[in-house]
Amino acid sequence: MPATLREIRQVAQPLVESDPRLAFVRRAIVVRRVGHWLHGFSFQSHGPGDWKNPNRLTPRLAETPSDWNGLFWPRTLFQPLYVPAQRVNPGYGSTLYSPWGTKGWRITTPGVAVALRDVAVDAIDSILNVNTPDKFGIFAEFAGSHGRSINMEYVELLTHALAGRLVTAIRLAERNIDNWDHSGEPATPAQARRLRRLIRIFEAGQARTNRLLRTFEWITARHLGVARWWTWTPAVE
Amino acid sequence: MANAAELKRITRPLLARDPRLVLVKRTIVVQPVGHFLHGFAFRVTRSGSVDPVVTLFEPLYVPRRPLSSGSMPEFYLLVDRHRYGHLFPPSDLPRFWRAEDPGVEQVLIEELGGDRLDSLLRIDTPDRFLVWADHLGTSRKFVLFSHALAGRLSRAIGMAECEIADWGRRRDVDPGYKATIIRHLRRLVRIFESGQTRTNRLLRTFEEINARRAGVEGWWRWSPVVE
Repeated sequence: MPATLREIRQVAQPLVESDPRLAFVRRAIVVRRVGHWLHGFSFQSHGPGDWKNPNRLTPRLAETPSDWNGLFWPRTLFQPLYVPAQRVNPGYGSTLYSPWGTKGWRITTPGVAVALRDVAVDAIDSILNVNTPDKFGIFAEFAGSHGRSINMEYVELLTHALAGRLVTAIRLAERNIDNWDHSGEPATPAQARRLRRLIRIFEAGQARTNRLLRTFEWITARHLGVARWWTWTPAVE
Repeated sequence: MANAAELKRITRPLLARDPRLVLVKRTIVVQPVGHFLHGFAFRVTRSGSVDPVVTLFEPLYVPRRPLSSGSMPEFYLLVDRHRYGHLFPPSDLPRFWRAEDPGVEQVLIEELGGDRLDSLLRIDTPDRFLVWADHLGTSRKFVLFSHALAGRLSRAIGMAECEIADWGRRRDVDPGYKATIIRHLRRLVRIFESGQTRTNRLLRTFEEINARRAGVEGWWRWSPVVE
C-alpha cells in the first residue's frame, strides 16, 4: 500500500523542525503566516486502484501492486485563498522531484527524510516567490486546468480582480459566459448565473470586490484549518 | 498551409492597431526587446490551421535558445460557435481557425492583441519569469540563468554545481559530449564567482547573440537588473 499519513508525517518531521515557520495541517505542510496564498507542500498518495483512472499518476517503478508500497508524491503548494475551496488542492503547485530523479518518493528509502528536508528547503524560496497577484497570475494563465482539478477560469478572473484589474476581470467573465474555457460552447446556466453575479460585484467597485474576496479568503482559511494564521491586506485599495 | 504571405495578410490588421507589434518571419514580436522576447510564434501546419500559436516570453539571456523551440506554452484557436458559428456549416463545427477563413483577422486581434498580450508583457523580470520556470517549465537552464540575472549568484553557483554532479553521474551519453558540458558548467561557475559585473557581461553577450539570431537586434536594449 502507498504511504499512510502517519508515515508521511514521520518522514516530513525533520523538515517541519528545520524551519519555525512550517507547520503540519492535515495532509499538508504550510508556511506561516498566511496571506492571499497558502504556501507550503502537499502530499498525495495513490493506491493501485488508481491504475483504472485515465489521469492516474503512475510511479516510474510500478510494475506490480507491491511496488506501491510506501510511495507518496510531495508537491509544492501555493493555493489562493480567495478562490473558494473545501480542502488543500495539490493542483496549485508542481512536482517535487526526489534526488533520485523520480516523482514518487518511498518511505523505506534510506535517508528519505533528510533528502525530503533538503529538497523542500531548497524549494521554499521559489514557493514564496509566488506572492503577488501578478506573479500568481502567470501560473493561473499558463498552468492549464488539465489534470489539476482546478477551474482556472475562475482563478484567473478572481486574480485579476484582486490585482485591481476589474475591467479585465469583467471582460473575462463576459467572455466565459459566451465561450466557456475557450471550448467554443457557452457556459451552463448555473455557471453563467455565477459569472453574472460576479460581474455585478466587480462593477460595484474595488471596495465591494475586496469585501467579497476577503469573505472568500476567510471561509477558505477556515475550511483549510489555517484561519488562526490568516491575515487580510488588500492588494489594491 | 498557412504560408508566409497568408500570415502577413491575416496579421496585418493586428499589427496596424498596435505599433509595438512587428512580424519577423513567422513570429509577432513586441518591441522594444529587453531581457525577454515577447510575442507569438505561428507553427507551420499542413491543414492550413493557424494553430497552435506559441506564446513567447523567451529569456534572451539563456544561451543557445532557438525561438519557440518547444518549451514555451501553446494555445489553440477554436471557433466560438456562439459568435462565429454562422460563418460555417454546422457539420463543420467544432474546428480550429484556418488562414483562409473569413473573420480570422478579427479573431487574431481579439485573441492576441488584448488581455493575452498584456499578461505576456507582465512577465518582465527574472522573479516573475521564475514563477513559470520553477513551477511549469522544464528547463533547469532557465532557472539557473534567471537567478544569475537577478543577482542571486550563490544560488546560481549551487545549481550549476548540482548540474555538474548530475552530468558526472550519467552513463548514457557520449563521454566527449559529457566532458564538454561539464567544462562549460565549470567555466560558468568561475564567471559567477568573479562577481555580478562579469556575470552581467556574459548575460549581455548571450542576449546580443540570441537577439541577432531571432532578427530583433535592432530593437534589443540591455539594462542590468542588478549592478
